[in-house]
Amino acid sequence: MTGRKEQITPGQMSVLITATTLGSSIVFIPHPLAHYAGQYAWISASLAAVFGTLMLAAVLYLNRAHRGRSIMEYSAALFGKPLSGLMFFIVLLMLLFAVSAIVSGIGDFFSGVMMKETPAYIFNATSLFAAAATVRAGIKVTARMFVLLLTVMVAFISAVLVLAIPLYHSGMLLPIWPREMARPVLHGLLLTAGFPFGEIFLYALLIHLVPAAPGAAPWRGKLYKGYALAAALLIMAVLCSSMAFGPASDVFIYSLFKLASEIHIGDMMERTESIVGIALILGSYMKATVYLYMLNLIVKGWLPFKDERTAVYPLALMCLFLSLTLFDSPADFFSQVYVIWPFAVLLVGGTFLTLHAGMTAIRGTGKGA
Amino acid sequence: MTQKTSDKALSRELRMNRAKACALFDRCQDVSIIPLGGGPEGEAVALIVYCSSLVDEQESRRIRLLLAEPLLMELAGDSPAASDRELSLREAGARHQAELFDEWDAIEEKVWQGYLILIAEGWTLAAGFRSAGLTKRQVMEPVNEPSVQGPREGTVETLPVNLGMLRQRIGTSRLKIEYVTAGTVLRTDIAFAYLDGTVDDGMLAAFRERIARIAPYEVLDTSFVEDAIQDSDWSPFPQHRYTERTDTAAASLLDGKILVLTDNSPMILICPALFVDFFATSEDYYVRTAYATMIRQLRLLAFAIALTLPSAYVAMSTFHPELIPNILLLAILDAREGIPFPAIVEALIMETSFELLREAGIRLPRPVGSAVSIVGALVIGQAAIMAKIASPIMVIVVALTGIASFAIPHYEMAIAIRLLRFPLILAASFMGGYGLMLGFIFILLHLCCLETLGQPYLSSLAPLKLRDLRDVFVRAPLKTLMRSPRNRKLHAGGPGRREQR
Amino acid sequence: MIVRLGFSVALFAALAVAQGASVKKMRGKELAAFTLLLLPVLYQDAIYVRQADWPSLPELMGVLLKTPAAALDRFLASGGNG
Repeated sequence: MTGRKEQITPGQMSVLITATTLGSSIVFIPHPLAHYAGQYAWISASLAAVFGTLMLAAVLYLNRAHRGRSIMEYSAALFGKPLSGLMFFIVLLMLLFAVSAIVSGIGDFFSGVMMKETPAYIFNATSLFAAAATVRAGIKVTARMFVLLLTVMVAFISAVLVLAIPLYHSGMLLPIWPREMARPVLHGLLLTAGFPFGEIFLYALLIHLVPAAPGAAPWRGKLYKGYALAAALLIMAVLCSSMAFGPASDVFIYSLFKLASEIHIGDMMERTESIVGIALILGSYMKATVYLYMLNLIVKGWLPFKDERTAVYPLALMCLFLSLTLFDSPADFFSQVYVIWPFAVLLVGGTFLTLHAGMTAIRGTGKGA
Repeated sequence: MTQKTSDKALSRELRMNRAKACALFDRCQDVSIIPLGGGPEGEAVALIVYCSSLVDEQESRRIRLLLAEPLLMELAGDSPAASDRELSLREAGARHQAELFDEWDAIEEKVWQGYLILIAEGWTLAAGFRSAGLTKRQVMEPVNEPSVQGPREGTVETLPVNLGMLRQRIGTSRLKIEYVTAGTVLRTDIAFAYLDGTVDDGMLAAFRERIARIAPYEVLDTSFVEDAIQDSDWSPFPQHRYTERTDTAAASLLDGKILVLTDNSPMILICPALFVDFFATSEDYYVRTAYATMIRQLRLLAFAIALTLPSAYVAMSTFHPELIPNILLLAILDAREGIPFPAIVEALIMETSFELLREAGIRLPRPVGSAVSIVGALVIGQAAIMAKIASPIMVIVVALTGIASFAIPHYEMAIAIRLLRFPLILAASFMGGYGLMLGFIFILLHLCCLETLGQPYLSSLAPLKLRDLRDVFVRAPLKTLMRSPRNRKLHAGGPGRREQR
Repeated sequence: MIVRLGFSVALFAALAVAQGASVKKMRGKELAAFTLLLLPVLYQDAIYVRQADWPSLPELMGVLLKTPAAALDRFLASGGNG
């Protein structure tokens, strides 16, 4: 069916993981996290990263157990077509929501912060078109390209975090008054474990694209490294925005952007916030592209298209209209993306992986096929 | 030969052959058909046919003299057996190898290649002597790729000379040279050369398959070959590269590339060219490492400036003035005061007039060309500012862009950047920095999709090969480079070129 | 409304340009599948153009997940600074 011709290297796969994990969340997550967990934000994020590692381990276990087969193939074998179809339908809905939310994040950011006169639908449409065109170019090209884009993005974000060193006050990390710690941390954990760390479960759909040559050098460590890099950068961003703004960091919706705009080193190093804008576009674009690819992967598994790319543009259109209608207000965005979405990821993703891993453990690997 | 006196074969009678030659070369007044007398009744016994505009007169005279004596004496006597005659002819033209032809088609072709053809009475073969002597351009320093250090040898319009220079550099039988002929009228000789064992076999197969496509076309220049074999016709990016330097050509062979040389063209086509190749010159390897590295980075900077500076200026001044440091912003605002156009129109006017000037300057005779540049400098630099059509900042931007595009060593890549600059300016003027980013993403996507002869065009950047980057962003010391993966195949028993992903 | 309609028409026109030729070649099942794929897109487009309050993905998610998620959120938030 699919995925036979299209293959990527483990290194490229780890780049995809880093890209989607950092993705748009590096700009978006410090704000709600600070809102939920206050000064403990970074603790929540670190715990959530550990949780994400478990998810990744489950994904890799499934890949190892079903060597070379895509999850849609072995899932149907494990659960039967109707049940596995239902599961993938739910995942499909989640992906639709995710792509739309990412894209509308770009639109909101630019029409709200940087270019206030341009309507949001222009940004949504163009960025989705870019993502769709990339998906149509194939995962190989995508992965090659993202290696470069991710390098740029990581360099930019690190540069902002380093340049902002004069703004940090480590004292901001201390609680201002004694108060309960467990529930805020748990709240933040719930958020970040869903968005972005839990989303790693979606890689169960992609992981078979790394060729499973028997006896090949062990490559799974590379994926953990990629994931660890993303997690470290994300935690650093959270930590930095807490140290810079303290309790105020839940006021600024795009705290990294705010952080960058506060940087003044001499007369030259100022106005660095455009860098954050660039990082946001790159991250969101990369994440949207990978998720759109996953969407197409599911759809082309169901529908009998001769050309694998047939569904990409219609799916992108679907996401575009969704992105324009999903959120009525910023409060609605907050509730859907920071309350419902993490919960959905934890529930669906957790169930999805647990069911597959459990069934694989019980039924054995290739017997059901 | 009487059994088949078709049009194509030579006749035994000289009279018939002469009539045939006259008909064949009718209205080709540069073809000389000279009868040689000396028969018993003073009639012609032989015929010499050659194209006077192709044959070196001295050379032809010498051949005629050499031939005349023994030949005519012999012809005046009894007709000897054909085999004896062949022998004596060969002896007569010992210095000038004689080739024998029995068909008019072959004779016609050889006349146009500068042969001197001898047809004798009572003989159905014609002897041809190579005496082409058209004055050709001397080997001199290449005009388009001058260098301070390193060899100054450039190619000329003659294929054998060019191939000879290559052979001189690479004296091994591993250097393979194969010929293809293209067209029915021009019948251009096209040679392609590669270093056996170094070139990628899959690539060579793909190349052979493509070069076969050229056969029906009339090829005037190497660029016709490029057009026929390239992967993407509409991409602004060149997928093969040209050189007039034999040292560059030899280095490319060592890198596993395939060279295409065409007769009557000095350009050597290097197939395939990757994106990063366009930022290297042969001189990079002749100068000191630190300097070469700096130059490389300067060129990449030039690439970035040439591609983005005008669009970045438009985006910043139209959409994100808050991103410009205050003092600079004030200066820009001050400079733009009184200018009736928005930044985009200003940028387009200046860019277009710059392109116009450049195009005008290239094609004009040199003395007039300098006048154009003077007028251009005055009009663009001075009058446009005085007339408030453009701001001084915009002039700086356009001038810097122009200079940066000249700093890219390969003209084809500079053209690609020129082409891409305008859509980027438009994107920046509609959607600011976001549009610019989008434009970059699409350009990058295109570059990543592009393949040339099966190699990813952006190779060693995407797919990323860190080890190969020591000859991209920096130019590592030659000691290291010679051990680099791209040279590994040259060393016997080496593990070979790394698999392209 | 007009802007939204024009925007959607432009988008579908772009889709037709991009994929019209390949869709014309489709037969039977493949064509049916493509139509099936376009149906939800058209539905979502109708919601967008009319700014209608018809049920869609957020409502679906809301029905399934909103209540438990919001409850959990409220419980956790009561201990924090929110």
